[in-house]
This record gives sequence, C-alpha cells and structure tokens, in this order.
Amino acid sequence: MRGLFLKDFYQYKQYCRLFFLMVIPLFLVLSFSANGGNTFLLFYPAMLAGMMPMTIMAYEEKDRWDVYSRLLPYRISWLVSVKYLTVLLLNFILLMVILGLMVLKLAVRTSLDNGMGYSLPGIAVILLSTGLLGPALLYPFCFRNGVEKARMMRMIYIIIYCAIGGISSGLIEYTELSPLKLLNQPIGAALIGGASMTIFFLSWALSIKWYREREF
Amino acid sequence: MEKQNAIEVNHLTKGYPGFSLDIPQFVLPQGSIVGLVGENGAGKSTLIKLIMGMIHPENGSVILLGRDNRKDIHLLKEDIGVVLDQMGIPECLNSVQLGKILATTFLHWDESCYEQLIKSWKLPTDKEFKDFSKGMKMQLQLAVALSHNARLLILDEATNGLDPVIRDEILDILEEFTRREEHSVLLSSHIVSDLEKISDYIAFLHQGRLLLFDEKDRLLDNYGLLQCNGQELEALPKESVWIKRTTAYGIEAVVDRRGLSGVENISPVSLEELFIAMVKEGEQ
Repeated sequence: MRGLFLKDFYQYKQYCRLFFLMVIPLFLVLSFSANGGNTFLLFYPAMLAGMMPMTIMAYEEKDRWDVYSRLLPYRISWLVSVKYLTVLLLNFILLMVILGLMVLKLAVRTSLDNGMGYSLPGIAVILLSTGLLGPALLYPFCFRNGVEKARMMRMIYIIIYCAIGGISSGLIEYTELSPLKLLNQPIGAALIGGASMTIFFLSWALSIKWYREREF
Repeated sequence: MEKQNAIEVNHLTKGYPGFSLDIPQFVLPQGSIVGLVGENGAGKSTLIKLIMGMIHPENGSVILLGRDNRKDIHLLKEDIGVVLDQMGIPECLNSVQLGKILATTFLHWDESCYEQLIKSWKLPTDKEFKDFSKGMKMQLQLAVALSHNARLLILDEATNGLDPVIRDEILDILEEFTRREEHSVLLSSHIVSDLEKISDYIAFLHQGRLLLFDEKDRLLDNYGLLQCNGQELEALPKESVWIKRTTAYGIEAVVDRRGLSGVENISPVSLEELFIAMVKEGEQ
C-alpha cells in the first residue's frame, strides 16, 4: 500500500499544488478578519479536500492506471482505501492548520474567538462533516462506474450541499434548530460528527465491494 | 518432478452483447512461449483479462502457476509480469519515480535489474512518461515486467506499432527469458511473423473460439501450400484440403500433408497463411 500512497503523492504534487496555495490565504482571512469572516471560507476548503482524491481518480482513468493497477500485486481493498485514508488525512491537516492559526491568533490578539460563534469542536465537526460527506456520497459511484459517470452525483451533491448551507445560514438568525447552531452544542456536535463518520465508513466498505465487482 | 503448466484454462466462458468467448481447454506449458494469434476482436485481450482476474468468467476456471486465480490473485501477481499495448503508467511520473513506487509494491523487486534495463535501453530518467515515444513506453513497461523476478510474462499486443529494431530486441529478450525452465511467456499478437520467430506453441483464436493449439514446428510440418488445377484438386481427399482460392495461375490450396502422402509439390506455408486459411475455413 505504500507504493499506492507514493504514487498518489507524486500526482498530488503535480496536479493539486494550487489547493494548498489557496487554502492558507482563505484560512488566514477566516481567522483574522474583524467580524469573523464567512463560514464559506471554512466549508469550501473542506469540500475541496474531500474532492481531491477524486481528481486523482480522474487522472488515473485518463492514464489507464485503474487498469494497470489490477495487474500489480495490490489488493482491491488497498486501491480503495488509499483514497479514503487520504480524505481523512487531508481533513486532519486542515484541522491542524486551523488550530495552528487559532493559536497564532491567540498570540496576536489574545483571543481564540473568531467571531463566528463556533467552538473548536464545532469547527472540527464542520470540517469533518463537509470533508467526509462528499466523498462518502460520491466515491462508491466513482469506484463502481468511473469518475466520468459519477459526475451527475457530484452535481447533485453540490446542489444539496449549497442548499443546506444556504438554508442553514438563513435559519441561523431565526431558529435554534439551524444545523449550524446545533454544532455548538456538545450533543449536536457529537451527533453530526458521529453520523458523518458512520456514513463515511459505510461508504468505504461499499466502495470496496463495488470495486471488487467492477470489470475492466 | 513433473512440470506444472504455467497457465491452465478449463471450460472458460464469457459473454458480451454480440460476442462470446468459449475456451474448453488451453494450457501454457512451463518453460515455453505460446503465441496467441487472432484477428482484431478475436478475444485475445478478453482471454488475458480472464486469466489475470480483471473480468469475471461466467463458467470455468483458470489455474495460474499451480494456483486458482480466484484466490489471493494479488499474491499470484508477484510472479507475473504483464505488458499491455494500452499503457497504464501515470503520465506525470518519470522512470525513477516509477521504480520507487514499484520497489514498495513488489516483494522481490530487483532495483539493479530495473536500472540496468533503463540504462541499456537508454531510457531517460528525468522525462515524464507522457514525453516518451511509443517504443520507449513499451520498453519501460517491459523493464517493469522483467524486474520483479516474474516466472510468467504475458504480453498483449505489446509489439504493435513498434519499429522492427525494437520489436526484434523485445523478441530476443523474451527468448532469453525462457532459457530458465520455470519461466514461461504468453505472447498475443496479430503480427504473426513475430510469433513464428520465437513461439514454441501457437494458439489460433477466432471469434472467441480456439480453432487450434499445437506445437509451431508440427503445424508448419503438417500443413503446406499446393498449386494445382481443378482436376488435380478434385482427386485429393476432401478432408485434406482446408481452403482453396483461384489465382491467375490456377488453384492455390492450404492442405494437410498427413493425408497426401503421394503428393510431392506441396510447398511450405507460413503461419500467417495458415491462420488466414483457418479463419476462412471457419467462416465457410
């Protein structure tokens, strides 16, 4: 499996450098803006991080690595798991970057409060749920039918995601039931975080099953 | 100790809309080179994919190096080197990066062998794969296949589109590979002259059916070309005449010598002529 991670690392270095260059300024604005910035600056990098392995999958199909890798001594579960583990790793890195910036902000302004009204666990759950739910929905279809054919699901996901985000942002002023407000409550954060992780791991298992059945 | 077959295919079937593959039996004897001949769409790639477990058969089984390919095939792939005509190496990688990836992939990766092959074939180490010529891409794939102590090589149309010099080099390498008796090669191609040069056995595949499987030398000994007129052709046993065609000089027929002991003017036939005759005989 190390070979698969190394291969993906080379491809991220080649094709996804801009993501890292983009994320840092977004998080800096989020952390240091006077009125706390916009939640979009938190959601968007998390969503992109979840989609990055899908970008690599698209290149793999273009290069026919998905066929060639079946000739090499890799277990099917490894070929799938590398992508899911990368999603977890990227989200973890984003969380660490946010933490680092908040510590920096503490040193500069003596305050961890970013003005958005979210606790640290709440931010972690936002990152996890945004970063994990997209892959959880899309990756099984990518492994089953290919990235090209899964693009319809990607459109559906983006529409649903933006709708939930928009409705939640609108509800946040008017009701306590806004999903975004629930995140600041320990039970709400635990429920949403736990549900996201559960869905993610179920998706992982489904992807392995479908990829095993797929023919090349 | 009895030699095991490198590949054994038993009652293998696979169907697609408009095509079906049905192979009652096919073997690749250990230590030999089997040339798999077939026109475009004959089922060569389908057979190879079934052997490598990339597609699932409807019936039948494949035994690879003595083990069922349905169980732990990822372990079997340690001993099998495969070269496809459609490349699969990521285009952004160079040969050094590829070597590092594969060194952590194969248990018995031979770094020095890989570097030696790269050097002897003068493949660039700093160029990305997408900038390689077709011949260089094929050579890199072959370098990978030869650098993990494989016992079985499978090449699917690997010499297509290559210049004669590189093709000749590749064929020499395959012959060298089988000098060790536990090494075997399955080489599929529709360039019959390549197969005629190095194969020990020839398998003819047409429309998903194995028309013939025999030793190459026996095929070339048993079949021949006969130039004759209509009367002479009528006098021959019908079962000995495979296919005939009328030319400006008379009739040309591919015949089975075994039933024509009294006939003297039978000239040698090439595998290509034999294959064309078999296909046309099958269509008739």
